[in-house]
Amino acid sequence: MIRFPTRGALGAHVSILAVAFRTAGTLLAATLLLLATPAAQAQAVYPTPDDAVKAFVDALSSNDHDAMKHVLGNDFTRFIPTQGIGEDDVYAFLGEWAKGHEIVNDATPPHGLPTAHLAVGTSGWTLPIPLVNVAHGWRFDPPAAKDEILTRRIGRNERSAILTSLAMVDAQSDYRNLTQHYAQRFVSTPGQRDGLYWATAPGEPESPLGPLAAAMPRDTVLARDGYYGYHFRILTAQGSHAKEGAQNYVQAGVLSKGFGIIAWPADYGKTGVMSFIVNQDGQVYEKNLGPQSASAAAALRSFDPDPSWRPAQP
Amino acid sequence: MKRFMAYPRGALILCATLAGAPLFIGVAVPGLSYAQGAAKMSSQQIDSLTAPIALYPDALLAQVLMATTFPDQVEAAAAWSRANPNARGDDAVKAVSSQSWDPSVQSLVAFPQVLATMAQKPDCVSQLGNAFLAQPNDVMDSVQRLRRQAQQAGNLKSSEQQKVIVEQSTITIVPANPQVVYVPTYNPTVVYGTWPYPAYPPVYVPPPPGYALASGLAAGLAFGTGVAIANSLWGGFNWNNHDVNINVNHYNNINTNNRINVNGSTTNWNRNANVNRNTANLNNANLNNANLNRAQTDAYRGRDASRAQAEQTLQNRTGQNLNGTASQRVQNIHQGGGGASANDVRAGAQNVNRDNALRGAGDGNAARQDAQRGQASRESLASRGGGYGAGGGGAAGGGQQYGGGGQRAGGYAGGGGGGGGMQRGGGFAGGGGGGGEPHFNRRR
Repeated sequence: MIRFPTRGALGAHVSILAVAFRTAGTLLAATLLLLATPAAQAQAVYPTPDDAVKAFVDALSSNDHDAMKHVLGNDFTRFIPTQGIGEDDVYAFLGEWAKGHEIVNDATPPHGLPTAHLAVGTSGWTLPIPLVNVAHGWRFDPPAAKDEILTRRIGRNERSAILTSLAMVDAQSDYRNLTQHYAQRFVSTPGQRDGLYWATAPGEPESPLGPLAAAMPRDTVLARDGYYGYHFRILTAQGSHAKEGAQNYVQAGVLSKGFGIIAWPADYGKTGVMSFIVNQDGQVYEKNLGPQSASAAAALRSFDPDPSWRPAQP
Repeated sequence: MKRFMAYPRGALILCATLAGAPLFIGVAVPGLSYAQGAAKMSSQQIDSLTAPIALYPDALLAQVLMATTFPDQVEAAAAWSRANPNARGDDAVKAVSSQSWDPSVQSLVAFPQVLATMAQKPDCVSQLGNAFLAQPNDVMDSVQRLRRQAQQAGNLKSSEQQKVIVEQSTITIVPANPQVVYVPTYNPTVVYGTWPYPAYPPVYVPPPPGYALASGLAAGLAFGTGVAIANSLWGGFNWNNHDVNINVNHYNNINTNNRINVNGSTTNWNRNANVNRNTANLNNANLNNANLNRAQTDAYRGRDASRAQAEQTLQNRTGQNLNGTASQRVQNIHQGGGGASANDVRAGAQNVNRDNALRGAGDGNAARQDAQRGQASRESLASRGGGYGAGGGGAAGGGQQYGGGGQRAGGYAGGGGGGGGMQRGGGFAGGGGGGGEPHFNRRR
């Protein structure tokens, strides 16, 4: 993947370390074992937040999983990409760290104990793994980190869902320029151009959507997790709260008068909370459809922004 | 799923960043003036320069090419290597870590044979370095052209020492054992078959004394003693995108003095990484955005930026549609070509859905907007269901995968989440994403 000469370079490196350890004398191995035993059980506590983040960055930049477990605890893979997907995030983070880093104390710690965050780079980005001041020093706080990451993920996915909805409006507009009507599918049937994505040969103009359109609807095996954690469906009518009132967009079998889009979280409460609707006018509305968002979205037949829907922006 | 930012056009920018390469961020850029003034080299000229090194393993070749852009340092390193005849491998590199040489130059002391060879032809080294600064894509294409010739002449094959991976448009050479690297010795006037351009004969640097090998040199590759290394090789190529890459882990392990500086340009020795920092950040935030000049939403059209980029580059160069693994390509060809495979889509979706603590590093603004919207929505979720602890906080037990997730089931088990009749609770009063404007007009 990314910038390694070979795909498995991260793993290969680890095995190099392992070999190095194995070839070390038994005495050294025994010493290491003694040292490692408490570490394997307990997450490390450091004298200062600086010590903690230094250990974190050292472990990250040397891709040392044992050290990472020591710093972050047994759940470290929840926070740090250790496989191909997300490796670039490691490098982006290290690059930002190199530009600058500081410990930012939190003004209002949530549970009384002093907490702090590591900020890297020049944009004020903070690592969503807070540091907490415990009895004997500072350590990273994995449960709080899960919570912060959840918040960011929901926000990121919802903002992406709004932008994706708007991108679909553009794509439908492009599609209509080609065909004089809107598309009723995201992915074309093979050999056809009846959806917003179709395969193109090099040099051909691209289709209005890219190949990841296949991840957008809910009804494909590929799309379990959706696109940025959201599923999308095309609506073929609008309701009484839409401009010009209720009407069917379909005429003579094609979507000629307009189209709607509904987006809902693939996993309510985890990948997103809000659902979103938009039509050809490009105003996105949002509403919390609740834990049964998927079935509520499936039941929704028309673009109908009644007052329970609020205008949304990314 | 690969993500590269290659900008094949815009040679000036490429040069600037090339010369700015990884250790010298922000330092004045010698390559720039060179690139403006120098005449473009023909592919024949470049082939003659790359011939002596084109058959090196990729990682070593990458580091040699980087080092040629510091010809004076190469000479100094060669002198050091001569003065320390027993120094080789990782230990040698560590021994020169206090030198002010570029890490690419430092790395070559692991391979005395390479430095000794380069030192014999300093003019060729600097010419090659200039070519690599001014026309990096042409240099990389040249390497591929020559490898193809050597392969067709029957002289480039996998062996005990190195693996030769032949794909449709690229030939990759990697050490058979990544911890033991053999530097090939060969005669470029022979190994490539009949040299096609008599006016530009390949530079022939005979193996330096002590590295000469009697057997096998007449045709094909000869290998001396392998050099045991763990971290001295950290370079690499993405041939399709003309990217020169750095394996950060190996690099950091060997360049401990320079670790932080190097991380400053992340993994790319890449001419793009520095000047296009903003692009890089944006690409981290949403991996489909290939083009900043297009509207914000175009990033969300479900395109796979790296795939598109790779296709375009390859199309420019070969007219062929090549991406994915070799077997995927064959499959694409059987299917009529052009389509995205299920694997591509799955990988692309995994990528946009990926979730880790480091995602988005560098884009504080987006992270703040994400957090603000996420917080507002989680408050909405809490107030709507009634069963949620607001915000989750530390209440989320360590055993749960996600903070709020574990509570959800319990909360709703009794809550009986119905249809859409319920109004959103007060938790959302703050407005999503801090906007609160009555109407959002799209910016296009």
